[in-house]
Amino acid sequence: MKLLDSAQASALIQSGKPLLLAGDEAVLLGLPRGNWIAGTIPYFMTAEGGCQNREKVFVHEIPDVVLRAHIRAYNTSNISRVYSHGFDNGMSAVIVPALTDIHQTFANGAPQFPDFALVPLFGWIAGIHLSELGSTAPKVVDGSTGEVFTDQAIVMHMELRPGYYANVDIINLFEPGTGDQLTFPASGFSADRVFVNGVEQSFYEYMTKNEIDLRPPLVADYCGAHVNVSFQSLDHENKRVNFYAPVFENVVYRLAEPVADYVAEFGKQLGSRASSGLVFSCNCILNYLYAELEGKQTGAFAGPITFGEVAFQLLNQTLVYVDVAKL
Amino acid sequence: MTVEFEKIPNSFWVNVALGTVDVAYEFLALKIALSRLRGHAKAGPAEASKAGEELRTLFAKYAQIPQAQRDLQNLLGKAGLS
Repeated sequence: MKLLDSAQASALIQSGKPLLLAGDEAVLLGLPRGNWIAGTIPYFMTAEGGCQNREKVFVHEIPDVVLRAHIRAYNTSNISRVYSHGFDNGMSAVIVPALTDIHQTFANGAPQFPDFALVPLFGWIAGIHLSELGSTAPKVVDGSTGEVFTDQAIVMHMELRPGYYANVDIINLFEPGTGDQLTFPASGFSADRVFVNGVEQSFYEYMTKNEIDLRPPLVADYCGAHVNVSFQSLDHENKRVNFYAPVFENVVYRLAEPVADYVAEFGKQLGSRASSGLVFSCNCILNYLYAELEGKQTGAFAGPITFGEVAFQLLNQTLVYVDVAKL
Repeated sequence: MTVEFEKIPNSFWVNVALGTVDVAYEFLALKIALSRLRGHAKAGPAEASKAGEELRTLFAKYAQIPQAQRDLQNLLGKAGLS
């Protein structure tokens, strides 16, 4: 997993290896056809630290223990089949263009899709340079056909050799705080009402009255896994709160404890996780921005800096990684 | 490790789905799926039974994965079934 120039990436593509790519749109569109999928983003974590680069491509090489890799695009009508289409002993990588209907459909619906979590599904939400927000659309690419999508997700379903398995896991530095319990009367990427310790009120007023910092996320405890929903903005006109992932009805959220030193805390959590079988990782652009990761290293976990992360479902402000190991 | 899933009573899966049998989980797929199933299971006996079936399917699917095996062994131990 490394940042390569276009010629190096092209050579790898032409070797026939399945690849997961990330890069600026202009670079991706200049690559030869082959067994790869990609998403747009010009921000990366590399062995040398966080960086932005519009000339190079980040490459995750799929290991030789993958026997077959099939590429398939999904729209809002068939994304619900994404888990069902996975190989029985396999893993599936998904890249979804941000700020689109397919992003919303996947994020809102994934936990209810057939065979949810029965295939190790991992991936990320493609984005753009932050200076181009509102003027450029995030895109994903099917490298086998050269097709570019702004409204579909691209998936590489991979079959593993017998005796091997893929393990998808996360590193989330945010812990739920000890403050109010927040639940929402409706699921979605924005909320106007909230139950605060069981009492319904305006979420916008709760946020403004308490001068809540929008940088730390909401955190829910999923049987021991801390799942974040990041704040996008306060909609002052409509008195709503917007998120980068949906809150779900009947899930209890708390405001996160702030993380004082992301890099130091990250180092503590690495522990034994830096596996030799690491095949993929990505981290969130909000961690990159708020923790000022440009030029700072996060160990072996290199990959695109993303507009959302997927570990079975959409996550925010979380590092997702996958390792493949022998049983 | 081989688990004989057919010998595990349905009530075990239902109790895990309801959270009356619980441990500190290790396997991410289980944590995320179980969190959703718990929401469904609390809706009533039929929903709890269905959630228990889905849970058994999940464990059977990942039966060879060490993290899932350790979670299942811990649960069986907690339920007095190991």
